[in-house]
Amino acid sequence: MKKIKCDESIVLTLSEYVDDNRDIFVSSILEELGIPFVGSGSEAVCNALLKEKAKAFFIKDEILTPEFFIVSSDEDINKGFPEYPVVLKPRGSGCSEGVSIAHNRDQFEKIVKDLLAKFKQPAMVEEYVGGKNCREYTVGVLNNDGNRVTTFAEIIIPDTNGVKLLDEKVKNNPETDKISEVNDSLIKEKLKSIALKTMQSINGKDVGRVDIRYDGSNFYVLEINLFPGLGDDSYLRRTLNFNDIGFNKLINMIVYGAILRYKMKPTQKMAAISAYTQKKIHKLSEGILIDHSMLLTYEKTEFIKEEVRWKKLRLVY
Amino acid sequence: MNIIIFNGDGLKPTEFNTWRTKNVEIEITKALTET
Repeated sequence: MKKIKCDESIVLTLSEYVDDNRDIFVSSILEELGIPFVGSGSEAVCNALLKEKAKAFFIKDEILTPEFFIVSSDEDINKGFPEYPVVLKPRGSGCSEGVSIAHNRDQFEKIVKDLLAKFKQPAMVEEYVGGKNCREYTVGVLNNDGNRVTTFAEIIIPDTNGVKLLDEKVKNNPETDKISEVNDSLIKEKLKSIALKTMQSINGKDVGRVDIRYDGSNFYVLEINLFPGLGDDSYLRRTLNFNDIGFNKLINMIVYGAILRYKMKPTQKMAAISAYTQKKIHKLSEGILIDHSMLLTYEKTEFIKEEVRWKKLRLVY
Repeated sequence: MNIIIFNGDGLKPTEFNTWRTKNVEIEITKALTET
């Protein structure tokens, strides 16, 4: 029976955070233990998640992004933009949670107060990128044998009184949640170049999804997601349909990319094993005994969490 | 070369914005074992 040690293994984590506090990433624990893993490092994930941090990277690398400011309390409301509409969203949330638009000062004040109360974190106020011909795109960035591959889709957002906003209402309604293929090769080239630059700017690894808005003249990066959803209804998965990449291929591209990044040598048939469920381990890895001392146990993680907190790798809202 | 699928059991993590939903976990395991 073969004994596995972690230096012969790579971890694919399905959980982004270690607990419900959502302030410590599983990746930061793996980094602390020196265990190779698939996906971006904790610092990059943290920077991508906190929208103004991500924007600081974009601005430094001359990637166009809408102007913005952060509102932490009611007093900050006076920082308002001279021109409405403005888009408001929680500083560190995803999935279009809380995304709203204000057309005037009264709406702005009300939305800010609601967001601060509901999400218990600062809100980002962002310039609305609109115009008659505005469009929104989502671009998947993957690895294929060490080369970056991009997948594209246009998100079709309904026009409501001259404004196109991808909020929870649009996203969660099957009638309005629509995407289409991007056929224009010039647009695709431009999106590809911006998405790759954005991924590089934030130091993203293996997989990511970049959301880009076009006002008819310029492309603006709205945000990058380094832990994009992989469910049936996720944007990344739906972009694959336009690019002839199946789910199996997607997962293998992501994992192989990481293996090559760590300069490991994948065998032809890699064993997929579960770190926790003994039954699954036996089922999936016949003849393999896992050295549990090398893996993440609950007790071990509790200890390391404290270490990580002290090292300030945690996410502070 | 082994791939350890860390499903987070025992850590009580939130399921928000993760790949941990049951279907995705099954699909990922299947994708890796079939390769």
